[in-house]
Amino acid sequence: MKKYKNAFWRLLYRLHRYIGLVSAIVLIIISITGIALNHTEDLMLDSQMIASDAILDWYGIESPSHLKTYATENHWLTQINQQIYFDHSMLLKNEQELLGVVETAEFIVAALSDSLLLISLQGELIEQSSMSGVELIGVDQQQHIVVKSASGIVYSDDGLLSWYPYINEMLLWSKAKMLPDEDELTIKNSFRSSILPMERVILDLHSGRFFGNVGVIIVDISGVLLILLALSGCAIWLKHKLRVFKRR
Amino acid sequence: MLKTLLGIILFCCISSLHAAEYQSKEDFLIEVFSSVPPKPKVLWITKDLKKTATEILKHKPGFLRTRYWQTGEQSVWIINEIGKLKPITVAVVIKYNKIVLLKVLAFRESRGWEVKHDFFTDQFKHNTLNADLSLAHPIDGISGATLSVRALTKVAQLALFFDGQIQ
Repeated sequence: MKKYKNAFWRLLYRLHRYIGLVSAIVLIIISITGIALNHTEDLMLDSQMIASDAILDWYGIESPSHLKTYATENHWLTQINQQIYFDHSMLLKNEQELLGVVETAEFIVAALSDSLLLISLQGELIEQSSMSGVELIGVDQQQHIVVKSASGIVYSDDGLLSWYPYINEMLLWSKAKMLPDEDELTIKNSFRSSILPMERVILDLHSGRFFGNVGVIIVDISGVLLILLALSGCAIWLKHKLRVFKRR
Repeated sequence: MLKTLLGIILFCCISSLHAAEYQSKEDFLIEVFSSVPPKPKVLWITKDLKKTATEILKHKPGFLRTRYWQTGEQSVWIINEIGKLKPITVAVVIKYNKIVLLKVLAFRESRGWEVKHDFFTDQFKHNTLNADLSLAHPIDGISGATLSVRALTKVAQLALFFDGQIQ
């Protein structure tokens, strides 16, 4: 009986040691990622985006093939999915469709399907003002911003604050253009590296999903091993305590 | 299984119903001024104003100017602020440095829509701004709508601060 007892304890010691070694790597990953996730806001994990091509490729993130671009004399405005770029810089995220852009001596105005963007010549967003059913935008010879919307054709001469019916001249409406290949590539790369937040990757590492279903299974098994580790550790500790107690 | 699926679909439908415009900006202004609203005025966000606005919003304001409508001592501000992902459009009416009315005009998030109700927005009435830019009367939160509550509180603070700049 004592022989079997000793064999059991030897096995338990061994199991405890090897379970500890096997689950150590996963435990360290889970611990580090868990601590990081507990401080998401402090570490700004939700606003830091992954730019690494290897990780983006691993997630299968690709840039959309279709870009919509409008140009003024000096600048480009490009829409790629829900992001609007001023030249190469992201201007804002918006669900509305970009329909045109015009430039005056004072500012740039971009038309979205339900609003207008007033942009400084340096590319800063001054204001987004709502206007429903926008279809076209143009600028006339007097530098008036002219907009064709569901309610008719109107113009503004005071920075989009007041609107008046537009009846007189013919004018050229803003039309979509092709973006040069080099600029297109720059914008696509910028877009691609603005999709995946650091928080997502850390969360996936924490759950094992970063490595697909295999990763989830490994984390699950590690969870079971950790339970066994805790139980075997408690049993070993109890055994020692009882032995000390008996000696006294 | 079918019941669970139907439940999920129903929940999604209810959630999407809340992502809506409750009142247009134009209708709200007509309601407040009881007639045709005055021509909007513009407050430019200068470097100093931007610093304080950033302190209130906890992020840089995404605009360089903001519109307001004013008659006498009363001013109306319509400001967008993101709750979690999408902007909430909030109108704030201020008179004698106190909030007369705060109303959610459009809510686009899928959660936290409870902030549109009067039982919540009434808390902002008669509220003023302390010297440290906090509201004089604290706002009770709504569980499950923390980010929306926070967004509305920031808009109230910002509108009171902007109003102080034009008086």
